[in-house]
Amino acid sequence: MLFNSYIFVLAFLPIVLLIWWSPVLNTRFRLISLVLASYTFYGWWDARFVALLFVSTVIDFKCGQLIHESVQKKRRLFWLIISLISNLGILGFFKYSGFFTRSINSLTAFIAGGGEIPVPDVILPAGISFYTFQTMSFSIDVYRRQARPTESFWHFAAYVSMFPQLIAGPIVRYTEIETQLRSIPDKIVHTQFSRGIYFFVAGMVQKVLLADLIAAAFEPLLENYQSLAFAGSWFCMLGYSCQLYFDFAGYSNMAVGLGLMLGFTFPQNFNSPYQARNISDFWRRWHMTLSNWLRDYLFKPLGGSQEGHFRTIRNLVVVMFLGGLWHGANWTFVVWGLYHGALLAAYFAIRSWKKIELPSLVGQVTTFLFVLVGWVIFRSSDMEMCGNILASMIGLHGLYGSPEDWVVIQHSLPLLICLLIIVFCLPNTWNWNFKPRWQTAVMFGSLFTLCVIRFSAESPFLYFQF
Amino acid sequence: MTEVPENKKVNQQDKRFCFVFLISCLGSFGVIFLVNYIANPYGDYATKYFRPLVQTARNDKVYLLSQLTEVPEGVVIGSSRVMRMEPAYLKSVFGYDFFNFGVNSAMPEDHLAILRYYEKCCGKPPEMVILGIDIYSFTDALPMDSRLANCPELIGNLPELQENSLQQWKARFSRNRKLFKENFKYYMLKDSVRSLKMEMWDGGKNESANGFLSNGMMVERLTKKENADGAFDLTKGIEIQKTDYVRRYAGFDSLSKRRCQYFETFLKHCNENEIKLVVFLTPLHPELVSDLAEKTTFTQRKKEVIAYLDTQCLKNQARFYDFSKIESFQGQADDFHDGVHATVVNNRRIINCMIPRISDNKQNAF
Repeated sequence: MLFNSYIFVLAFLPIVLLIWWSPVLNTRFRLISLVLASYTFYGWWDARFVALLFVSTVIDFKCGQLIHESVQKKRRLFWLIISLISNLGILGFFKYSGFFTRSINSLTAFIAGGGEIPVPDVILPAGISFYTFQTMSFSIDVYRRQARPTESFWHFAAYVSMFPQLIAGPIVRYTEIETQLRSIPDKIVHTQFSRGIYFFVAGMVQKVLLADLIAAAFEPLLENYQSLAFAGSWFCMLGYSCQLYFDFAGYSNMAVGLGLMLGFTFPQNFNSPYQARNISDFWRRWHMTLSNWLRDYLFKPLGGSQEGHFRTIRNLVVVMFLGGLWHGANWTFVVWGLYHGALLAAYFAIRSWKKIELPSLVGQVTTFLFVLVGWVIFRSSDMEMCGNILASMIGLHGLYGSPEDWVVIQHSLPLLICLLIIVFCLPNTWNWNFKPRWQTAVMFGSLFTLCVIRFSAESPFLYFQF
Repeated sequence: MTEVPENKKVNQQDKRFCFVFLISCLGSFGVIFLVNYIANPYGDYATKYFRPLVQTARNDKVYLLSQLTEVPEGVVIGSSRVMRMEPAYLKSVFGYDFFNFGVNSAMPEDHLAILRYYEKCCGKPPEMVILGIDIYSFTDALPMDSRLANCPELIGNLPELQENSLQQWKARFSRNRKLFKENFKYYMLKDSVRSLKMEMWDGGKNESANGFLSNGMMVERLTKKENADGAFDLTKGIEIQKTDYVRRYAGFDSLSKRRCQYFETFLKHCNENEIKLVVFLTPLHPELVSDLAEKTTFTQRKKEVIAYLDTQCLKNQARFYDFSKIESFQGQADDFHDGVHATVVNNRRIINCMIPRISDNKQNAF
């Protein structure tokens, strides 16, 4: 089920909210209803994978309890490893088995001219990368004694499967929501609810009115990327940068909004990333919950930046390589991760050598250009496409391209300029000073209606594929 | 005076925000629904304050007939194949003013609905009806045309559909549900606004897809000019139709009882009201005929349809002509726009062929 679908906004959400805030249900039944609703939400896409989510939840719930109960460090480590293996095993099988087999086949074909291993035809369950990372963080936090596992299975199942953030984050850690789950308010908190509406509608506007509109403008051009010239390639990649941001930030805001409507506070996932002044700043603002996850559960255990320059650089590259791979089972994502790893390493090296402070605008533009090149790799289906677009962007394929392309560009240029102004200059949803006035309510009601009537075609969120 | 605590005040503000948001949503949905329902850009609803933005031949002809100041005495009914039967030429032959009510893919239910609409609109039955029938219109495999369903003036004249069978109730429910959902779509709102703009500021111009004259005759395509330019490709037109017509004949295993009933009601009505009725089988291009004969049940069904029409027309005192082959009216294979649409010239030949047989009888063939 998509947030931007009739079934969700007109049926699922109102029913869930009515049940959730029903005065006749006690906390336990409300949690059960939330889990059932979340499983329905997940199973709407493909019911078979509900079992996978359930199995993953049971394993981590049990492992969490066993880690907590075990006194000996070895036993605690043993249960942690079981949890990690099961999570990474599920992720590896469903997400990477095909990729690794294809890669091995290509390698053997290159070296020895053959040796085909059958490629498994596995469907990637939606949101698997997100919920496995959530459950892994739970097991690790319990192991580190930073979290206390719950005794109630429904409590834990609600944490793992909570529908607002199940498919595409934000990646919520157990420690961030534990207290909230233990003290669910009995009555609707209007302050939270109104903020929830604000975030939900703002996210929907970002997705339906901004991301989808710009995507409709540049996608037809990008389908013929071989014939793109300088103007077309820049238009497409600037458009894609805006689409990706509004699409993902829109989803995150909707998730936060839905969480608030249910009485939960989720962490911020985007903080105007294109206003970052350097690449390190960018990663503190883009997909913040993933960046924080990688920092706390990967970068720091590898030694972080405490063990000398060389190791720091190595750690940055390794973390970004794995971060790239997390995004998708394709070499373009690996290259994208390594590219960002290299950028972070270079930035770290320069900063260690000399503290250079670029003027804010220069830093912002330079960072954005580096990020933009990264998006070319990220968007490309293979390295050939990536090379082609980059060549067009430096003018190797002409300046204007075909007259048809030029007409499309001119037609959609005002929209692109508006979006770029928004991402570069305006504060993001979290920084707006939201005041629950009736005028705002009318405006948000109208915007919500406008978004709903634009649900004509199915338009999944870009990060669903990860 | 008691002071309201700050947090309570804030909570009240938030409560009001949620309430106003909900009301605004409902209100804006209501406004959108009303605008779309009143503007009715596709002519789906019964409201007729504005002309539908996108016309189908059915909506167009309904409108054109209602706009005529002088009531035509005769009417041509049939599919797009009769759209090029000239009312002016028919007048010179039969002596009546005609209105051409040819609509795309007309089936017997369309014929009956059109005849009834004509009577309702003109206040009396026509003097004469020329009905062009397509062989496949007696199939059961094709459902009722959605363009008929979306034309309230015509569909409302088929009380036969109002029977309370479960299937019909389901069909009505499904259609209304679809219309209700469509009413909340962005494109619908956009087109409603366009429709209102066209009506109020652009002098009521519509975006007619077909282009009909006020007497219902189709504006002739410039085939000769296209021929001279080398732009007209009859073979291509026939090729496209081959696939379409193979599809139309698929599943046509026997004559549809339902459609025969509509046809018989039509004949009976004409007979009872002393309407002079000429029924003819519309022609096809010979190349398409041979293709259909090879790939479909065309030959077998044609025999059955001819036998059926012969019997029924005789029973109801209507004239029946089989013009399905071009030889039957001295037609020319080149005088087609494609595989099924004869040009005006071939249509004149069809009308001419009715004359000698008509003159056999004393009064205008009847």
